[in-house]
Amino acid sequence: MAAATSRLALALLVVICAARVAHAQAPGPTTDLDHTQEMPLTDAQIIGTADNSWHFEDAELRTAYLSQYGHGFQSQDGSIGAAGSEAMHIFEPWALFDIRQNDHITHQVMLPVDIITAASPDAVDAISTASRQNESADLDVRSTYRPDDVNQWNTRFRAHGEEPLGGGLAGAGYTRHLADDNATIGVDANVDVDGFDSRDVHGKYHGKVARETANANLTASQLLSPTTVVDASYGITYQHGVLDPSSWNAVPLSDGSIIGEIFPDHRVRQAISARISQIIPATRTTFKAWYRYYTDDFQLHAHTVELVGYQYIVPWIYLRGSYRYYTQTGVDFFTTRLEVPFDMTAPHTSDSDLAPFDANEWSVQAVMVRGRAPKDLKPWNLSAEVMHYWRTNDLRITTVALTVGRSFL
Amino acid sequence: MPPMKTLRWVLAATMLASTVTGCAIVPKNRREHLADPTMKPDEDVMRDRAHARIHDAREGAAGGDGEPAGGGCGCGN
Repeated sequence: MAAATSRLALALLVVICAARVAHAQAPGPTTDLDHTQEMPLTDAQIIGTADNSWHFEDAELRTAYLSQYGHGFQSQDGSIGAAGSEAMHIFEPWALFDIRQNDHITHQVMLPVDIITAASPDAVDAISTASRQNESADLDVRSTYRPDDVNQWNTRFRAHGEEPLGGGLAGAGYTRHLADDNATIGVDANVDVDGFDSRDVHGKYHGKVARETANANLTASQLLSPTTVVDASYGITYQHGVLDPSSWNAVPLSDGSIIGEIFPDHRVRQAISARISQIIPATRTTFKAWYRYYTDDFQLHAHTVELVGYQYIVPWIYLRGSYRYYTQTGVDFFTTRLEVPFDMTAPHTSDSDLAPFDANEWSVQAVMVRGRAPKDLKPWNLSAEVMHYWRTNDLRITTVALTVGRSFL
Repeated sequence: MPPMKTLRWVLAATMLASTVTGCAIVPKNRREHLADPTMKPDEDVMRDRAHARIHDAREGAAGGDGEPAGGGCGCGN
């Protein structure tokens, strides 16, 4: 009896084992998660494959209204010898598209449009309307090719058009990601050529002129801790040609008349900047501090400091506030009143943008973060911003902007 | 301080800071806070470029931050 029981138990065990082996070897439904495969699973088998063909990842529309008031001696909108009005109003409908070509190549396409009214009216409008009403538009395409985790190549092409000026830019760069992305170093270079109408201070047309700009930049970033990042950049720019596209800008003379401005035919500009970003997870707060030093061979030197704070009020909405301080020495050939007689070949300008001044700016922005909002709002991002900028030499700007974006991922 | 001397001082300070901090390694599984949208250097591309356009057109110190100075716009200084 015991032997029979043992044989029966052995037979049952064999049957069970055979059934399990047969089940394991039987062709079942084919799934990416078939755990009987001997090869290790790939990422695509685990999380699925994304659409690798051309597709939009993201689209954003930004609409801004900018109003500017102030006075400058280059403006002819006023009595001769006195600072004229620099009032103008700008409507800016801008669009931004993030496009993925495949796993390694992405494109960012920006279409900024500026519709400007009342820019230095009554200046040369008898011949050109550029200073009364103007429209400008860009097509700016930045492409990134990242073949692996270490190397990244970038290209950039931009075309620009407005009434007196048309131009184009081409650039390329390389970024290397180091130490498992703890640090990056990058280099890029750009060449920009602009052609525009030359008009003198009385509006007389003097034909087409051009300026060329070559620029090179070095960038670096470094993670300092799980909550801290620093980044820095250095850039040098060389410009050649006619460097004052607003060639109708006036320079008041001591005899009560005006003359056009004269610029040197080349300029070398350098800037270095550094930023530290710190997030405080406990309070859901982020701070950024940025400093920039600039110098050029027009003897213009400038310092800029910007402080930015972010505070989440709910997990999907944060408030951003910033303050920026800027100071510049002005170019060494700036004057508000040129004494007669004067050297007709020596550079001179009354452009208030090139005068010594300080500038302050604050902005407040509310942002709804894409991907974190509840349910139907999840693919959307929204933001609203108010910004105010003012200079110590009589210029004030207020901007209101709204942005709407949608992710298609 | 003369401008070139200031530039050299800033360059030296940046290099020193890079050397001191260059050894920090943050593993990928400890970067969740760094991935927050507010920590991205370009968390709002259009806002940043709109601000840069205001500054480039009204200040003499444009460019040098990855952007060519003064070119591409009739309003650039």
